[in-house]
Amino acid sequence: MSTITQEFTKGLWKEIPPFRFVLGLCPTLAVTTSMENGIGMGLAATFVLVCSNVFISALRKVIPDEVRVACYIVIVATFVVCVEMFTKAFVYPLYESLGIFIPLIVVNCIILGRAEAFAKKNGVIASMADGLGMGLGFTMSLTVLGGLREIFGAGEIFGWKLFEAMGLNFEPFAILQQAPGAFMALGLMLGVMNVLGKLGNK
Amino acid sequence: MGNMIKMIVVLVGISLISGIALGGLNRLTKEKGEQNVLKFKKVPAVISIIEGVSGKMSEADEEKVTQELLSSYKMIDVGEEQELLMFVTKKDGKPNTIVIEREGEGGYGGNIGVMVGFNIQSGNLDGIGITTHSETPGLGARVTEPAFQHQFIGMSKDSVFKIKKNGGIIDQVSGATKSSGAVADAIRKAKATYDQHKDELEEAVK
Amino acid sequence: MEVFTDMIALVVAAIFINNILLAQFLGNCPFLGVSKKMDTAVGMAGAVVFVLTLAALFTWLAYFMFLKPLKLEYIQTLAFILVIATLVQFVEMFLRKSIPALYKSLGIFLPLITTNCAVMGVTLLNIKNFKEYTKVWAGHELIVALVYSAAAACGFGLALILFAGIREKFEISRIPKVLDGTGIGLVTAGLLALSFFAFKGMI
Repeated sequence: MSTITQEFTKGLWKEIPPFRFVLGLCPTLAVTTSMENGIGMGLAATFVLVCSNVFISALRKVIPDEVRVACYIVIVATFVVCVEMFTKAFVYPLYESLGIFIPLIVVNCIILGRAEAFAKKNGVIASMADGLGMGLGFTMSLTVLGGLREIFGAGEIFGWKLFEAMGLNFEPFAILQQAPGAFMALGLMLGVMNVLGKLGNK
Repeated sequence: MGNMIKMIVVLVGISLISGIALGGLNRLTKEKGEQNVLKFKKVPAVISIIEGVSGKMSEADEEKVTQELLSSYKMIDVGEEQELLMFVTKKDGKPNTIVIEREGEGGYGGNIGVMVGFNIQSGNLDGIGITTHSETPGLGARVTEPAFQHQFIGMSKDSVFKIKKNGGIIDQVSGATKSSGAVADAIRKAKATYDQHKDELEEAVK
Repeated sequence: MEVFTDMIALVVAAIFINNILLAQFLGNCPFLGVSKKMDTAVGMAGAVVFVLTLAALFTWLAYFMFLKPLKLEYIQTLAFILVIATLVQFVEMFLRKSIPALYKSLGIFLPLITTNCAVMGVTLLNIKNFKEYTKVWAGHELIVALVYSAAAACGFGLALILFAGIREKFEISRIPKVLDGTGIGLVTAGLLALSFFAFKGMI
């Protein structure tokens, strides 16, 4: 049991994507203009990650090695299309604001990376724990990044004018909402994570 | 050889299952998805026109009107590739405004989709609402704000629908000439369509 | 004549203003992964230009000759990724057999391209922008899509090569330890993106 817990928790801190496990940067940068989008993207990716990990692990003895990547791609893409349909039907505003980054989950390297590095060698339960941990870790990162960019870039949180409500006169750093701010915020956050990691190790 | 067959069988099997699953899922969610396009993109623009005419609605009313609009929209054939989307809005229970959507060209971030409302009695504008745009936040995107949109309420049908800089009567959003111009373009197009297909549109109201 | 200027505007916009890497965030994994040295960056840029243009052609054909007539638009994502993966496989086999010299310089980057979201992203954008293409160049949408894709790929290459040039300097600079590696890379990419803002007023 303890190994399952371990597989789950490693994604939350020790190997948290995209900081420790530097993959899946495109959606990280593109959709984190708000906290809501960050959470949405993270959960969508988590769903695909868990489902594809489970299926790939369940079929790992059936899939011949030579065509494994093709099989993985079909499985991952199937779940991505599911997510596309679900979001379009049930959370339309999110579908709109994530745009082409929903279909692009299919090329998110975290998912194929986990399939190749974990699911093809491990059991179903362990793969599920791994997918869930990695997915939630990714969601956490996107949420924090999205939150920071929304608070300091637009002065809002979930569309609620934070600084106005506090009575502060704060001019948001609009650049944080745009492309350069995304890169810089992620880079600096990576630095902060490294500092925290070092403190944690001591 | 056996290996080769296994490869093909597995690949085809996985693709087949995925295809069937997705086909089924598509049938379940398709209609809902299409309705969402109307609900979240088109209807809010129509609601903003209604609010301009009859004043702010309560949330409950808004929900009711949304449902009403979703079940009453019409697609009119105007001899183009795509049919024209048309809504009819009511005031005091009677049909008051014909709302049609057109796209204005020349925005800073591409085309701007605009719902334009024409008063059934007078033919004057009853207001506009923006459906789609990708203008710069804080600048061009301000064409979606009431400060810009209010000027169109009751604007005479004989006005020159151009921004003031180009000899028209539309007050532009400061610093966003292109975005304002694209909205004006959409209004001109809507007006042209309205004039040309007036009979069909009025027929559809009944 | 106007068609010609429109085309130039499209190309300039795709390379400088809406740079897929720095403004639309497509293809960031290889951007940070292979930009440490100039020659790998050049190799990757070449491979992307080549594959992206081909991918745009094949996904376009797949969409308009197969998916759309059969009303299967909803499996677009699945179909496109398969087309791209197959294409990359064929390009790899073809290059290895026919042009070994080119294979030597581009070959190792090809498998990475399947999961490069720049390729997938641009092919999706082509379909999404179909309506806009029609407005200006009715009847020639495919050509526009190909020009756009090639231009977008060149924009990717340009950003990648510029970035590799800057990054090579890191070897001899003093960088705060906590930011070493990806951290400083991202901050630099941000500054590069900022400098690309200067092109915004051009069109």
